[in-house]
Amino acid sequence: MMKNNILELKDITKVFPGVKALDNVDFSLKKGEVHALVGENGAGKSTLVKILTGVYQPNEGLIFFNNQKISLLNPREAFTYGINVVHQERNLVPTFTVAENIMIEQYCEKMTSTINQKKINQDAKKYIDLVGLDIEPTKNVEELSVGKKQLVEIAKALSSDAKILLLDEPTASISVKEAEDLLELIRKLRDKGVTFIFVSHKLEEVFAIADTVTVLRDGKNVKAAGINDVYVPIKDLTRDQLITMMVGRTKEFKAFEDRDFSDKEIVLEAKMLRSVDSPKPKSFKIYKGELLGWYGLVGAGRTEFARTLIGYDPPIEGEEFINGEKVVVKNIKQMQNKHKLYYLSENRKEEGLFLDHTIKVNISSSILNKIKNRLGMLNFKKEQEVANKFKEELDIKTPSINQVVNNLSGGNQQKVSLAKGLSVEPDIFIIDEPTVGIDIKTKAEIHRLMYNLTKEGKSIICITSDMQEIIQIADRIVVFKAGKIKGELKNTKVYGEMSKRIMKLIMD
Amino acid sequence: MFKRTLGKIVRNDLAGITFILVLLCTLLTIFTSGFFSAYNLDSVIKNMSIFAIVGLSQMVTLGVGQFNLAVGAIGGCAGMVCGVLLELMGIPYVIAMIVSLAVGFLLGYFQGFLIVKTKINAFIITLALASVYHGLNMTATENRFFRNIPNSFKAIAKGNLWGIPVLLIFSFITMLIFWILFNRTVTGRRILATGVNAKAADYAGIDSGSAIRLAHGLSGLLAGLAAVLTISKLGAAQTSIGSTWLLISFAAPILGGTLLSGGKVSIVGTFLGAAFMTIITNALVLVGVSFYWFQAFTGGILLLAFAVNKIRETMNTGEGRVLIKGGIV
Amino acid sequence: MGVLLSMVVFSIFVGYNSNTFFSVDNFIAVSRICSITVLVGLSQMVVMAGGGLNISVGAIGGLGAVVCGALIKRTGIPWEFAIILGIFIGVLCGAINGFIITKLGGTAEICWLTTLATMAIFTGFSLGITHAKPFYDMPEGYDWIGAYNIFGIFSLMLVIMIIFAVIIWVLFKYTSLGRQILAVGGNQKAAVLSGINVNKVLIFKHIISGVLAASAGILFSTRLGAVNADIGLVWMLFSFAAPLIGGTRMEGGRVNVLGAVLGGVLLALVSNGVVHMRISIFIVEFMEGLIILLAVGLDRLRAIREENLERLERSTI
Repeated sequence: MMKNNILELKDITKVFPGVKALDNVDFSLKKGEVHALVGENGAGKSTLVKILTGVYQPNEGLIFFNNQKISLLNPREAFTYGINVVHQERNLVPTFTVAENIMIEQYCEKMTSTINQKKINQDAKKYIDLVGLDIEPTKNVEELSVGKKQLVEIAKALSSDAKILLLDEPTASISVKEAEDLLELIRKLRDKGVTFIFVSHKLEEVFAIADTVTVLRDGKNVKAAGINDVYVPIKDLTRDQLITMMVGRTKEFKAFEDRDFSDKEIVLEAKMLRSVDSPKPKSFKIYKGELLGWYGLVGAGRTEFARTLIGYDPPIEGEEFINGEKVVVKNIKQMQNKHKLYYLSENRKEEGLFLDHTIKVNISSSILNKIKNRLGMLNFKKEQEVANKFKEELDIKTPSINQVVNNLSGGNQQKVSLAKGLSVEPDIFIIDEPTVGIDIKTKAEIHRLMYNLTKEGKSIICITSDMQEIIQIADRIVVFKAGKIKGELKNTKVYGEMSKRIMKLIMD
Repeated sequence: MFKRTLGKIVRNDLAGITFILVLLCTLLTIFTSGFFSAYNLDSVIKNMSIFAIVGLSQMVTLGVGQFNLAVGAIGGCAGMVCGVLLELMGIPYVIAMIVSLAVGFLLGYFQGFLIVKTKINAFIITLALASVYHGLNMTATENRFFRNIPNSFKAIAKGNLWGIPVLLIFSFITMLIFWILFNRTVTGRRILATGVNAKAADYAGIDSGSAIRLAHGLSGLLAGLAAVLTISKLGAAQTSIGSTWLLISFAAPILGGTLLSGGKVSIVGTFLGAAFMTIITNALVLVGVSFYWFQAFTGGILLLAFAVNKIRETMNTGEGRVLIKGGIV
Repeated sequence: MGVLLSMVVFSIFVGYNSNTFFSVDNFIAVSRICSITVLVGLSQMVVMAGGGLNISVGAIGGLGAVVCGALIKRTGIPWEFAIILGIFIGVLCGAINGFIITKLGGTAEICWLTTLATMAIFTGFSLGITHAKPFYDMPEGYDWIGAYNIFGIFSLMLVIMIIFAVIIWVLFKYTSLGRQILAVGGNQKAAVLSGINVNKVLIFKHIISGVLAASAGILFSTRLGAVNADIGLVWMLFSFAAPLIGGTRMEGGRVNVLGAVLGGVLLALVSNGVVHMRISIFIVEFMEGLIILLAVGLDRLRAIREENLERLERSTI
């Protein structure tokens, strides 16, 4: 335990049903430093952040603040210790002005206090200037850009005397210029004595701004080769070392065989396709029987592009070809039934499943047309057959198919979601983040399943932010960044080489 | 511990309300002289049949995850159309009924269309449309009463078929049709899927918009049916038909197990809920409570229904302890 | 402002078609109507500000008037006290609403569902107390409130309404409670994270709404010269229309007190004008429904415009 650690977490373990999110994790924070918390999607970053901010409590482990043992039972308690968070989603009152948002804690302390608008604007101006925002305190927050809103939140945190400022993926949805300004601001504030926790998976930023770094992978701390501390000053690391720590191969790496598709038919092709939510034109193609990986960081625009392809957000420009034929994309139903293109959402709970309904009902929800007879009545026997078939095939662990999906574990829920998609017998299957939050055994099962599907001649687009996963299973990898396709790589399945090439495409 | 037994009663939706109903009827038979009389039972059963249909009307919209505040207004409009057709145009009552049902369906469908198109909250749209429809109704008919209802039409409400009141048969048939719809048809599934999670329904290839429009249309249709039957029972068509329906339309389905959050309906439960509301009101009459307090009771029961609904919902999304058969009853 | 314009246009239209519209007597009559519509509109506006809708405004109005009337007629209490107790009923009803809503979860949906039920309960109590028979023959001082005109032109009712409106304006502009209500309405999650006690705020907001509603009911009865359970029965509808027309957001977070006042005035003009033009009074209900649809539709357009701006922004990153 170092003496000038303002915050220290030791041996933190956090378990959810079926998944160990954090496994004996250590985290130390020195006063006045910018400490980066780094790791891929699903590495445990957000769980650690939730423990730091009092949203979750660890199953095991201790938290020390200024060498005193504390517990953070709710977000307000974390706040009293001066731990302020600027989340990925905005937490401002949109109808208030900038000043009203910044000073909200102060004037809402007592119900009977009077509002002195002038004083609020004046006090707020101090913090507005501190963060370098060039706007009037009386501007309405809802009219600001995302980047400026973020600065307002930082100003708000500073106004309540924040000692530790935790920024969660702050540059995820702001422009390049705004990101640069933000990094400059962080430097300035650090020099004034504010301590930062900077959560990110953008390595170029980490190198630009951080003093020290903690890397997480699969819920555990990762040590740099040759260094015995989990808490590492950035200046002691090379770029390559950090990349290896973040995406380095673990023992369980087992790739599928190499396959070549250059002589096969193209089942889906997009040419300069763009839509309302996916405005930058993109082109790619996928062959019959291929497992194509779409890699990118969170916010890279892959999901939006998928939504364009399937008709949820139909294209406004460009062309889409299925099996060589040009398609006029109208809606999901058409793409599903006529063109056998199915999309499985990454948010299985919010967009993929009917949580209050049973497994059986969920699986049949996409093929209602196929299990009905002439009068529009459901054929229960057939529905049961289909559900049981997938229960067997996917090994869904449940006492009965009449179980309500909400009660299943994450892995089993994902299997139900997959079954729902498979029931349509798609020729092209877009699966978004298939194994996020799922235990290793089920992960392997799902990988094997996807591979087998491609052997049967189906094509799969696997959208994932898990470097190891994509190098294990994909035949080719398309790399996305900020809404654009940066490049396409043939996957040699050699981990070190592929991960470097992918990261290079992203970091350029 | 009390919570646990309460939970057990609430959990098995139908058992709970059936038990309470049986208890209520038993107590009433024992302690009041009027409950079990032929006249009283006849009146109760007739009222409960109509209220069951009103309850079904709201239940359909609840099933798709929305609310229909215009049940009374749509009923009123359909009712007046029926009155006009019967009295002013002398149209045979079967056709008048069918036209009224169609009017109800159209008014409801329009409402659903607006909701889907504008993406504005169903609550405010149905609230505003309720006054539009009601205002239109009042203005167009100048608040007339239509009293020359053909006797053959009135006979529907008065008559018995093999000893069972025709009204009850109507409500049973309606219940049967909707039970089949929600339990056995693809359309019903689509509505319920949209009710649980409209976005997931879209991704699954189910058009949530058309499910919503249809549900509102059906809701309007049922409101029209209830109105038409009320005219038959009253022997007159007046604009006040439907004005008291809003509360009952919520209380009946919620007491019977339909969830406010959508995706789970109970046809039988709605009928039992309507029965409960009718019998409780009847009880108040028999016990001698002044008729003026009835509305207060209804409101209180509705609050109770909300509390029960909240308990059900928290149990449904609980930590996996409880296994409730989701979907349809 | 669009509201002012429509008011002027409408008035001119009516005045042209009727010769009794532009008269001092009519001005006084309209001012009386609008004192009620504005108070009721403000009552709803306060609830909307915090996110949610109060369906029981009319019922609370009716109950407040009924209790006041019952106290005057059935006990020997001086009418001044009876009025105070009647207003206290508003506090009570509001507290009941707020309490139940917070217990059931505190969301906007729960708010209107609950007030739907309490509307029935409160109306039921009104009916139960009056047995559907009105209370006649109010004491002289009571009637005087509703009848008096300052300088012969400004009805006392109008002045009372203005006083209330100013108080509410002060509430939202200058008090912490007002801001807290708006914060809860604007973004409940942010409010919680900023340390605001949401439950307390919700209860207070409903109490304020109740007081306004009860006051409206009692004020109305002073004009009527009688108290019956019908008071407030139709108020729910225009309680929405007034604030919505005036620019208050339905989801909460922003209020426009002056706008709500003007909205109430417009509604009063409409219901008055309709009579002068010999149009069926029922058309008012129809129009109110349309007005609400329009107001909400415009608000939705604004939200869509914002969404598109955000999209544009994202596509240029």
